[in-house]
Amino acid sequence: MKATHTNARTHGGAITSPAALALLSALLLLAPLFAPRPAHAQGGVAPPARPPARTQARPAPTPAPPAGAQAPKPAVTNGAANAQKPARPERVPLAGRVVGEDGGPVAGVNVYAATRAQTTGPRSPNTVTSDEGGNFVFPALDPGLYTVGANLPGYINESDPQTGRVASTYRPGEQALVRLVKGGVVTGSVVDQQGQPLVALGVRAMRVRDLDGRAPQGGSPFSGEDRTDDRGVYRIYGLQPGVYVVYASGLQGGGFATPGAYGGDVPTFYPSGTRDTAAEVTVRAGQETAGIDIRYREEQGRRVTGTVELPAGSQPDFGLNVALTYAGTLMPAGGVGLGLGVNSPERSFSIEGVADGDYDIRAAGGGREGLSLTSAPQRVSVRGADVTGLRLTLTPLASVSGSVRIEPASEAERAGEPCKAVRTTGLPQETLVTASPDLPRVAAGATGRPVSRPLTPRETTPDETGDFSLRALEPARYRLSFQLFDESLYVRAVQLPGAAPNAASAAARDVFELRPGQQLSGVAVRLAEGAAGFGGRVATAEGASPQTPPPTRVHLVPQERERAEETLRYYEASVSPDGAFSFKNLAPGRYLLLARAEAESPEAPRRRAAFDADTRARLRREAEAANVTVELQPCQRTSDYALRFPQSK
Amino acid sequence: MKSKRSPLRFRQGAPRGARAAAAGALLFAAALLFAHAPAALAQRDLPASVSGRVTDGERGVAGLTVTLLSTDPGQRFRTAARARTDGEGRFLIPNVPPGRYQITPAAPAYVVQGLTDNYPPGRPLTLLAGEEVKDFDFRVERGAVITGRVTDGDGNPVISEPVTVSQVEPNGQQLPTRGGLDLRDQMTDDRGVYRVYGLPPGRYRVSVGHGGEEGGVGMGFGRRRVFQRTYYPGVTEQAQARVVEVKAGDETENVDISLGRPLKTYRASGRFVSAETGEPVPGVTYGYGTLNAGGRRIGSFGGGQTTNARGEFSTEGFAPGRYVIFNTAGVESTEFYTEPAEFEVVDSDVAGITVRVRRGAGVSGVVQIEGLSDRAAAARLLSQVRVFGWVESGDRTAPFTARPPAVNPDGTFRLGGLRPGKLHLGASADAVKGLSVSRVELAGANVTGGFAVAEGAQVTGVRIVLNYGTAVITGQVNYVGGAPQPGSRAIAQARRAGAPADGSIPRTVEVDARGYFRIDGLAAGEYEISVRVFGAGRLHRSEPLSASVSDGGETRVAPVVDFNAQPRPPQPGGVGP
Repeated sequence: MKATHTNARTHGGAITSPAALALLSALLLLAPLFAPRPAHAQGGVAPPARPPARTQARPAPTPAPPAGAQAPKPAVTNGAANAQKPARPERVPLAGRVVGEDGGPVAGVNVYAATRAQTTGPRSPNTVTSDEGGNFVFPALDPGLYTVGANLPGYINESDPQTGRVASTYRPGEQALVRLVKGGVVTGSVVDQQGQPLVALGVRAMRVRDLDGRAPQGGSPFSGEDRTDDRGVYRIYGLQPGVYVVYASGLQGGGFATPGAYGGDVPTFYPSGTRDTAAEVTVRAGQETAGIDIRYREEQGRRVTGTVELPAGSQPDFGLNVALTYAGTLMPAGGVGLGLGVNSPERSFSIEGVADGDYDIRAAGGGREGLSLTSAPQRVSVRGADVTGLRLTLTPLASVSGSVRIEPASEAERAGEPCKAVRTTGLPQETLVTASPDLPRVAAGATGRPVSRPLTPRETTPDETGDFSLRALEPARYRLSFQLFDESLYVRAVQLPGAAPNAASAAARDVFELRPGQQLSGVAVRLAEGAAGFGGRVATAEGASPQTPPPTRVHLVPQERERAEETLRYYEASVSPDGAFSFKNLAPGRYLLLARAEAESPEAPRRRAAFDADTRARLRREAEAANVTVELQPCQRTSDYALRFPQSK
Repeated sequence: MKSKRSPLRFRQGAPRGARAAAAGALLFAAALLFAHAPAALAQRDLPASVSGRVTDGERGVAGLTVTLLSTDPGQRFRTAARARTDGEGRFLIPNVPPGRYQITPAAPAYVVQGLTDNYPPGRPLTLLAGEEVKDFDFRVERGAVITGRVTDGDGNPVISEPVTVSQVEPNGQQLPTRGGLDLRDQMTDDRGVYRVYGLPPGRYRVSVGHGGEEGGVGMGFGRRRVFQRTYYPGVTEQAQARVVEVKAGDETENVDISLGRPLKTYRASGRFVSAETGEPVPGVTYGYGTLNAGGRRIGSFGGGQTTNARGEFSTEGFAPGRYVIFNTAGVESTEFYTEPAEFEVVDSDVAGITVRVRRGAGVSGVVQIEGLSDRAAAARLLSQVRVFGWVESGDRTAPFTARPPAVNPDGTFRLGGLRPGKLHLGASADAVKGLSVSRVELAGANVTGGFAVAEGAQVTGVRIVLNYGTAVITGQVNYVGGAPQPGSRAIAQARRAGAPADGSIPRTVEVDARGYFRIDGLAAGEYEISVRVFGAGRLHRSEPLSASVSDGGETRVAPVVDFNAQPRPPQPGGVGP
């Protein structure tokens, strides 16, 4: 390719070097701009970065390491508590199998195992290739949680129907199963106003939501792209099931074959309009959605220009980018890279081909460790003229760090009957730590402050010493949450720096406000052995009114009034259609049980009722009125509890 | 094509007798016609226009977009203007600022005649202030299409695999793959189907995969399977490939290729250690190079991975072949380089590779702008300049790793982690109109051509001198005794008068099809102008002319290229900037 005539810099916003492309792709916020080519479109390079929304039942540990695997090393023992643990070698194999839709083996595919730190940071995941039988083995992985998936062009990792999540999480020693299914296809043609085919024009598919109405994983709706051929035909394949919008655009189409032929044009969304009038296209795995024909509008767009200012003394290591998104969404509407090795105190940018409408614009900069600087998003209204003179001021992103420690069960707890058979094999690095923007629940229909760009949760897993760090957090109020992959552990307390180490009072300690550039450190997360498990079935009482909606959630509310503000002691679980519910990783203690029918909205992620003071208080009132109490002993496992509904007496 | 109203009235540059009399002698004052005063700037910026017709045979081609891409500094590859052809194939691009452009119909499904081989594709066109260029016509021909399906050993479609279409000479010689085609156009889709279009008439071999003779293939992670290069219809020997012959506008279907099994790939692992202490080095960002049979690095891949806490690396997906592993320029490794660490993958995993990390040499200095007295303006310009350097070392496996260092507001810069060898330093001032690299100095000596850097040395006091200027030299080449061959290139060059041949970097621009050229952003002073025409394996040069320019002024020259003169063989690497 003639691309060798350009170098690693950017020309007019086109990223011309693969290396630069790869680096900039790491800038998570701007991933849509620099998304990989179709060959890798399907999560090819970056494994999905979305946490499991619930703890997954783990398959049984591999009985023996597969052939060729390194023999497990003896366990490291230090301290009395550890000495009681079963052998847990430092590095063990993670084996598995890749199968196709028919369950048959898929040979010769690239399989990755990535820890959370690898999916969000610069460390690359471990990769292996499946053998003739579809089997694979990562010979020796450090302890941790690994997302395991496979890359095969045109195919996608089957997603979990419950969560919409694509790849599953495993610990070394477990047996992974990766199922590849053919991705969906969108195909059609692009013609001009005279009906003539347009050649070498870029067409992109953006996933608006999944088939269950959930927002796309990882925030970016970019899914795939192609260029029209000499007949004007395009074909985008390997798509996740979901609802898409499709558009033709000169921005990407001005590749090397036809520089600038359609540059500066507004994107034309299928069938022949703007984002507002775009028709949605439903894509299903293994199916072809044909006839998505676009009549190109050939309309010159406006220009959005301005400057980006860096805070004194800071420098993005690798890149500085400006991204334009449709107002209030993550749907990219344009963007520009301002080059590598930026050292100017002020940079100017120009984004072309912008249609009339409302947008959010922001700048971001960063380096190998990911994003380090962003500007506050600004709303931009384009109305028949260029928008000039924007000033985007970058501010450093914040971080939060701390440690996860596992505390052994007390002698008394250990002496109890249920705990005799339970010994934890859990490790701190098997904890998924998530910092989620803590945005109060907005009542339906309420027009609150416009959120110009949805904040996305950030997550990580601690390292082998239990330390964790979450970087690139935008200034906001955050809540830490934890997912434990060992059923014998529960979260005993979260202490923010400066707070009294009072285990009994963990009220609201998991919520904090981050200012720009703040580096909050010393968050102590204490996990404890002896977690209880509790589950059963909601039994609709005889004589209940048929009009009564069936319960959808079961809540556990700490019975002691003095624990009323301890959000960590509130638990909730969904009720399956057959009435079953299940809790894990519970702190032992006395709880009030409450089953409720709650409205589900697929649009917004579920926010736990205990997070807000008003809903928490109402929960408590209702639970006290229902007055159904359970006492959970350390290590207790109950799976057959019958909860009457309605609970009113 | 003709220019109806040329604003230039060029005089013949130099009498022919003089050229014959004194070969190589400079002819001062021969072509100094007139110089605009800075007050005439407005006139200098009068817009120009281009019109013409795009035809396929006798027929005009409707609906094609003709684009003007700027090749002026700071504007590279920007579409400056464009127009669609009407029903007769005619186009008119009005209101174009004067400057240097590449003009082409954006017609990927067509073969456009008479394009030069440079990038961006098109024909060079230097537009002068206020001129109306008429009849700038293009002849196009509907390209041929080759389409087919690629399947693997089990008959399943091979997806997202690049298809190579290489032209074959009548004598069987294979021409290099044509550039300019976007890889995506040549990739198989989810059905294994590919469709390559816009092909010139000719004979082609169609193949998929990678051959061993092309060097090793490392997939890195997330990459596709690796197949041995297989030619249509399913042979691995090039000699047995069935050649597909296409004529203009032909569509040849069912050029199906069946591949064998993917090549088995292997793992390479080892660790990075300090060359001094032998201790493992964690956190090194590393990448791989592929080596050809002669041991020369011919490509690189990977580069995003880092060694773990034990200094270990491990990468899967190597097809048999020769490789090298090295550190790539990461934040933490800018002060280090790695000794050559080659390995060969034959039929098993390669473990225990030891990569020795050394602290590299460092070079620091300052970038200075000459010709600009306004300090604030100079600082502003400096902020857009980037310094780059590459080391010419005996290590043919070495990566191109010198990370462009930041230039501080005061112009200082530093490059670290250099391996020993000859360091070539430069600065990219492309983004800034008026800036050009003049020379590189070390301790007062001119080292524009590079200088030796010893193992671990710390070199200070390097000066990279940039020129700032607002003067322009425009010219029209007079061709005597013939015209440039189709497909040949003409380059005009301006060199500071009196500068030693290797002491300063000349400014070079493309001469357009009409023989026009424009060199802007020159500092005031005396220049020596020359034109070289490369074509059909021959080089013709004009005699050098002298021209004097003043700030904000424009000087016009008319060099003469005489095709009757004895041609010189082109010098290697002598084309263009």
